[in-house]
Amino acid sequence: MSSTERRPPLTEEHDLIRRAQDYDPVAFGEIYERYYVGVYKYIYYRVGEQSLAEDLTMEVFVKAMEAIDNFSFRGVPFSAWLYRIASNLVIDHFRRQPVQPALSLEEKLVAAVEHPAQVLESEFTHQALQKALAELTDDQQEVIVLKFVDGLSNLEVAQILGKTEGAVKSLQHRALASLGRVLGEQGEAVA
Amino acid sequence: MKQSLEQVLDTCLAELNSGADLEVVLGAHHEHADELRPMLAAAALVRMDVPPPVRKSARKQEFLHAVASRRRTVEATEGYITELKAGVPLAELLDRATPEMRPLIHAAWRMHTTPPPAPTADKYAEGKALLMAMAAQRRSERRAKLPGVSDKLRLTIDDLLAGLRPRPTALRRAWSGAVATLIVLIVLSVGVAGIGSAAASSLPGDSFYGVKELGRSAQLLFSFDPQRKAELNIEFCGQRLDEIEALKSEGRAVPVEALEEWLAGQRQALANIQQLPLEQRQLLVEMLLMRAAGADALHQGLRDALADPAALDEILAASGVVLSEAKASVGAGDDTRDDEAAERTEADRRSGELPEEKTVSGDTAPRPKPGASEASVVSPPMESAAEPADEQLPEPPAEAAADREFVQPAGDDASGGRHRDEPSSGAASSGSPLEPEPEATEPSPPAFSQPIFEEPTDTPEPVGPEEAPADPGGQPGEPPPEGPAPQPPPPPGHGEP
Repeated sequence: MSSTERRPPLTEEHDLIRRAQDYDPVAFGEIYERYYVGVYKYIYYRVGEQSLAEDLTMEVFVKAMEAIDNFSFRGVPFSAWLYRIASNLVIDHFRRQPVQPALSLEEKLVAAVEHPAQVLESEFTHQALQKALAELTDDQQEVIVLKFVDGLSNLEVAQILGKTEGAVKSLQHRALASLGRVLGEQGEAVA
Repeated sequence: MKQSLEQVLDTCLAELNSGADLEVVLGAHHEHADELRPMLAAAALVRMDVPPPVRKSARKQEFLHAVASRRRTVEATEGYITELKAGVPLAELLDRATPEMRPLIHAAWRMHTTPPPAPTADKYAEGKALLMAMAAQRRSERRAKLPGVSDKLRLTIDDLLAGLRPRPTALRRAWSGAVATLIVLIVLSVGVAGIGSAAASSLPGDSFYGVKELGRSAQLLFSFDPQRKAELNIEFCGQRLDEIEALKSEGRAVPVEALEEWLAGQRQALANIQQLPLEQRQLLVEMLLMRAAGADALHQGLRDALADPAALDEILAASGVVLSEAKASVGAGDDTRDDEAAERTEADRRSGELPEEKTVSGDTAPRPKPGASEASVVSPPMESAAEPADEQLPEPPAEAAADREFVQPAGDDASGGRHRDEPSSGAASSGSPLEPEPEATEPSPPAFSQPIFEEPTDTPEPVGPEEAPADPGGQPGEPPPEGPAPQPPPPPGHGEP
């Protein structure tokens, strides 16, 4: 789900969660299909590694299953609940993992089995953006990743982060200002 | 009274604050003048350092101005982002923006146009299979805990009802029938605030469905004749099949409990039939088979609608056993005899001797569908609930297509594993209790000549969803999942589903 318009009807989501709380495998399959890509995108830009992002995304859904009985609709959509789990998992990951140097672009090219040219083209932007994002604070990263990569609204981001919409807008402004500065330092010329 | 130095100092400070001159104040307290002079002089200096009100106001204005400017900038950023997402070209936005805003807009454009790499399709599918398997396991574990409590509760209720149940004298039977009728009328017809009507039209899983079940239980409770009980149970079986069909047609999930109740009703009907003399069993068994035949038409696609598809095979197999026992209870092993019985039944029906169904449970009872009735004796071929195995995944969205090589590597045989519903297609193939009989060309063979459901044989167990292979995928040490098979993944990509 990437925007309010694409959010499923509330009653449908309630029914889905009710079935999931009964551990209906089909319901969990639907939840997985509905939210996987969004959660994955969010985690990818937080951790900057595809394989790790995929593993952590899977972990999000397993955690969600373990805690599904505790979920109740109290003004917070289910997606926000999932993203909170994802956010906590990312934080826990960074806490327990020693800082490891990311693969350089050359190493990635060597590691790539297929289509090195496309890896070069796509990974450059991913890497550049990920590197720039890493310069921001956690709050700033979360806001602009949720806002741009997952396409959530200010209200949805605010619900996930537990902030007001005004605070989200302000954070977004500061994040973009910082990101613009970092990208400029990386040689990204403003068109 | 002589004042202390502290009291004098307070008095002097008050006078100074009120604007009195330092020398005048000291002169008024000349006995302490030497001690007071340095302290009062320091106080006068501090008072002189306080900025004048006009400077304070100016700073406040500056602060408010900065806040307003900041708010405008934040809102402007939001506006540019909205336009960017709406598709306004970056160059146009940069042309309009101030130099300070341009890096922000560029950064927003970068964020907006740089999707992460698409997740691997195999990992996506494995993850889904694992998740569904875990859910199935958790559900089975949860259910495994429940029967202990529910069984005890059911036994307790049965004991209570057995103690309360009066002996079936003629008077009590009449009285009980009246009470049962009254309860059913109250529950199903009159009701309070439409509860009765809501219950009558309710389906399994609805709030008022329990009321409907209560009405059925009341009818059974106050029926003492085994034949009447059998008729009611058979009728309720048909109604439950209709309810399941309604759920399916509405696209709602069919709870397994609904099928279990249907099966339990068949078993009760069989038990009632077995209490009757042989000559009274014939028609009831035929009615039971006719009612059960609705499952033939229903099961098509039921696997998709059922909340727990794995339970479908078990329940239908058990139903097949019940029906076989029912046929055996009338000695239906002999085809010749079956043919005669069926012919006699048809003849009886034409001559009006066979009781119409409305005499069993009233006009509201759903009539058996013509196709279902035919199915009871012909057992038409059952189509697989699964979709064709060669149905390929839809093309990924255009945005994801750019990274298709990363999503679906060329030559990746996993594409075959991503066929929609492929694992479940095996479940409805060979070895399934739902294995279709070859379609009979003869119209309406005898009712007992062919089983409606084939009993499970030595054929291998269907490859149900729970036996689908599912690599834990990033979960080392996880036991092999026993849950349903992976559903086909949508093309994971940058585009939202």
